[in-house]
Amino acid sequence: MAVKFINKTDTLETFRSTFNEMCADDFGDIANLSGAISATDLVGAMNETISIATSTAGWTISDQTSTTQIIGGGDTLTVLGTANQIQSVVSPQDTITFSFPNDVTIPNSLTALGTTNKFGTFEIVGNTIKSTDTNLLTCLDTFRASEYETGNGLLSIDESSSIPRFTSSATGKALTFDAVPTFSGDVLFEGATDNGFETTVTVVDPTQDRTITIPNITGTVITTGDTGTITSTMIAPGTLTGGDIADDSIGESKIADDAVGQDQLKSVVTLQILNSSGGVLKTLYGAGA
Amino acid sequence: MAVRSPLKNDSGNIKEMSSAEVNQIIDQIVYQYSLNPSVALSVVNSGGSLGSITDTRMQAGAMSTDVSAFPPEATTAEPSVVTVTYDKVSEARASVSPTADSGKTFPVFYNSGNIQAMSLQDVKDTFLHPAINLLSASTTTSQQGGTYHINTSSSVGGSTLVSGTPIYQDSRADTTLYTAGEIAETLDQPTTITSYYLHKVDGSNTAYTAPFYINATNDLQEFSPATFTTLLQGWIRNIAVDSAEGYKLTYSLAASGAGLTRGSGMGDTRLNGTGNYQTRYVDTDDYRAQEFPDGTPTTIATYYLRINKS
Repeated sequence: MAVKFINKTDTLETFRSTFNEMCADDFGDIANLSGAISATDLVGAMNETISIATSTAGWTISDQTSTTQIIGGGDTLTVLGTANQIQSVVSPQDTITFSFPNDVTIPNSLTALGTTNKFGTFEIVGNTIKSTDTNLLTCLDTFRASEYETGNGLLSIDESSSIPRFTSSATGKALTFDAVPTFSGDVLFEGATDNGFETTVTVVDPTQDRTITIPNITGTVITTGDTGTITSTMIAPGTLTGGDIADDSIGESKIADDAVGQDQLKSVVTLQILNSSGGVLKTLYGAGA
Repeated sequence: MAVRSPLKNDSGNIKEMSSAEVNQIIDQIVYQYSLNPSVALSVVNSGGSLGSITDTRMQAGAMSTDVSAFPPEATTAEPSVVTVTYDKVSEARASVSPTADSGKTFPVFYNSGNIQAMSLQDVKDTFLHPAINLLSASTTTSQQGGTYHINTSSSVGGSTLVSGTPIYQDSRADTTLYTAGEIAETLDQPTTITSYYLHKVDGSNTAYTAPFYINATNDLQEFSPATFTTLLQGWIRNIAVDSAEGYKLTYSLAASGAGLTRGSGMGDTRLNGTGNYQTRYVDTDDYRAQEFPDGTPTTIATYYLRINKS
């Protein structure tokens, strides 16, 4: 049954046919009206029906567990919600509306089968959780997962053999720290072979702020355990002092030819070779007493 | 005057030479001079540049004759003097151009904390003039090598005879040859008393220590024997002929003069008698008289070869 309209521009025939349909199909054949109904018009019939229904009729109500209750004529069906779970509102003439309260408590599981599920600005779309108003999700408590991955899965954080593990699947296993990590203890390097040997970088417990600067150059870190590693190119010219060299340790072969001048001689004394006119031909320098 | 002490290699160290070592070098200089003296004497037949000396002797006076009696002594000619001139020694002086001082030609010495090459004057004062002093001494040891002396013998140890020709002979009348029976005797009948020969003293190649000098790279280097001796020989020869400082060697042959005598004095002796009057009767018309040389030998003059530095 549908609402029928007769427009201003419709023909009289349209009016006639529509009216007939309404009478036959919508209003019904008055002849078919129950004999219990005494009224002869629709309004009267309806009022008479309500009166009958409300005064005499009863009905059965059943819940999801097939538990039933008979609602007798004249009884009032009270529909209640559960605090923090569901609430109901009755409105004229015969409407009851169920809704969730502002604060909903689901005692057990909540299964949302929809594609998109939102909790405020928190949205779950399939396996995706996101914020609908910002790009930030905040968890104020410990957030624990079997494995964490970054947006494209290039970084994963998980546990392996009871040890937390960062895994980068980026090219060259690159992992960028735009941060200042602070290590409480050692840093261990497993190396290419996963075995029982690791190289540990550790620090002596600092008693004040210290800075060890890694220079902007490619090379190998030298330790005090190295022997024969430091090359001359690593030593800045003019930085070695006499105290860096062991006493009586410089051999003749280490002194360049034509390199020792008078300034290097202790208590230098000179011996000049003169020609017969007293002109200086050569000056010899020697260490004095 | 600056006498230096040359520096030498003393087992790898530089050390001043002792005076004895300097004297060894001086002796070596003398030896070098002896090998090629720049003032050389030779024996010539005559006209020697050292001039002449004379030998005199007496000869008999001319015979006097008379047909009746012997000419008296008073009228008989007295013995006379015969003079023979000797000018047989000639001196040749070489022209020498020694190595000039380049500033580091000569040995070095220690000079107020420095080492300095000796100047030519230093070399003269230290080596050359002392060598000349030795060469011009009156003795005839090897330290006078290359200089000359006179000896009556033609063979003298340590010397070399310059010539077998005597440079001087002292003659006297041989009185044994004069006899009255042979009046008229030949007037001059000499006999040679002494011949004198010219000798050159042999040098002696004595050992010496080579001093240091400054080589081309201004380093100290020991003189090689050849370099050192050549250098010194050139300069000693030059000094001997051309010194302007009183060390030029000259010889003289005279009875007197400057310098020191070398070797034997050459005495000119002759008999000092007034004549040995002798007569000879030949026949009744021939009475002869003649005075022969007589007397005792007397030295008229003594000549010397002298060496002088001037």
